[in-house]
Formats: sequence, structure tokens, C-alpha cells
Amino acid sequence: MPSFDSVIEHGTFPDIDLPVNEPNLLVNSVSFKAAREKKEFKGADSKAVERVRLTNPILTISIDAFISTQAGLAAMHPGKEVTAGLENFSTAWREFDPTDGVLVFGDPEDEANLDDMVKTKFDVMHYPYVA
Amino acid sequence: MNLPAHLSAVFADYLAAADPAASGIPSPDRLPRLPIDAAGVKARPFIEITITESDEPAGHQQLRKLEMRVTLKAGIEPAAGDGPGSKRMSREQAETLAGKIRQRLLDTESLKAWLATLPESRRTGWALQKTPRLLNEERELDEDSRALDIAIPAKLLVLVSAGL
Repeated sequence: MPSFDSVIEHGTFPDIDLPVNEPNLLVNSVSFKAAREKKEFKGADSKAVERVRLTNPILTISIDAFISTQAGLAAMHPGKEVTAGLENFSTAWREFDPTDGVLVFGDPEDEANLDDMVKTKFDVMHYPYVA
Repeated sequence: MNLPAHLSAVFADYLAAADPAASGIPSPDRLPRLPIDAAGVKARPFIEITITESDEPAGHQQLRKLEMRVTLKAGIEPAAGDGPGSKRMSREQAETLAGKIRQRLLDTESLKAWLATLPESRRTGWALQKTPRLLNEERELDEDSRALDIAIPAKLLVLVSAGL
């Protein structure tokens, strides 16, 4: 046997176990878009951005899934609050904390075909400053 | 669990549970329904149910796509040496019978109701997600032995428990 190990590791490996299934949904993918509106101010002489104001932080969580049961998120009307929270957003993501603000369900698109279960895509917007 | 073999036996039993008078399918003692791994001599006529894993991606780790073939294996038209107990049938009878089998497979309400009567051990861990999608029938006739196979291919979509 060689005197050295076959595998050498340094540091720690990320422990992110996503996506996970949501109740009534078999989740294929989840994506997070953390954004702020940006207002740039250019200097009169420099013609370059000298000041930036970033406002309105919003996290948009997009989920792509098969519907296993038509209930909960799989039957929710757009615009309603997701009071039960999301399994895929159970802890803070880029400092957006699920315990702050509200989660709002939006833009569901459902598709049925002969070969597969009904597919759905939707967004959940996290507005951290909504009381 | 060997899901294809398990479902093959389940569908064999479902077809066997058909009421001969209502469904037009003879009772199992006259027309055995044999799952994929049935042992013993297979004397025509009988119905063979084979299920295999599909090559198509199912889209999720808990979904499985399977391909089922329900084949009526009949002997048609009298042949030399047939005794009075011959179980041969006419071509028309075989075609009619294949149509009845197809109807039975498409009877979603009966299938759901029958599945609910299964012992828990036979119906846990998996769930059909759609009515079996039946495709065009395929026929094969052996001219010498007058053996006729009418196969009904179908696609199954099954949700399995995590870890199965």
C-alpha cells in the first residue's frame, strides 16, 4: 500500500441539501433571486456613477415541481400569503430570513400532458419589510 | 421491492378479478392471467402481463416510468389433431376478447376501487399516478401452429415512497 491516502481533503464541504419536496409537490428545482432596485446618480462633470441607492430588498423563490396532490401550494390562488412557509426556505438565504415579513404566492403555471404528472412552476416572493 | 414484478402480479390479479359476465373476459380457470414470473406450463389461451422499467427519464427520483405489455396468447382456428376439448377460438373471438381486455385496462374507476381492496402490504410504497396509457395493439401470428399473440402495450407512471 502507498504511504499516502488516496483521498486528501482540506476544509469543510458545503452542506446544502436542496431542493426538497414541499407538501403536495415533488420538487425538481428551486432557484433564488435576491434583488434590490437600483438608482444610480451620475456626476455632472464626471459623467460616471458617483452615488447609488439600493432599495426594496426582495427574495424571489422559483419552484418547478410535479403536483402529487392538488392541495396547499399546488392549489393556491396567486397573491395569497404562504402562511405555512416553505421547506426550501426554512433558514435564511443571503440574509433573507423566513421569520421576517411575508411570503406571497405568485404566477403559477400548470401543465398537464399524457405521459407525466401535472407540472407546475410558480414564484414565492419574500417581502421582508411587510409587517 | 421489485416494482415491475410486483405490479405485474397486481395487474394479473386485477384482470383475474373481472366479472366474466360483465366484462366479457372468461374466468381465470378458462383463461389464466399470468404475471411476468409465473411458473409452470403455459397452455394457450392465456393472458401474459410483463412489465419492465422504461428508458424514458421520469423527471423525479420518486417517479418511475414502466412499460407494460398485456398479451393475449391464443390458439386460433381448428388444427389437425385437436381433440374435442380444444381451447382454440376463431380469429374474431380472439380480437373481441382483446378488445374486452383493453376495456378492462381502461376502466379507471374499477381499477381504483379494486386497488383499494388490496391488502395494505400489496398497495403501500407505490401509487399509480395516471390511468395506464394504452398504445396501439401489436399482432403476431405463427402460421404453422396458428398461435396468435395480441399485445396491448401500455405506459405506467408510478410514484414510489422515498427510499424505495
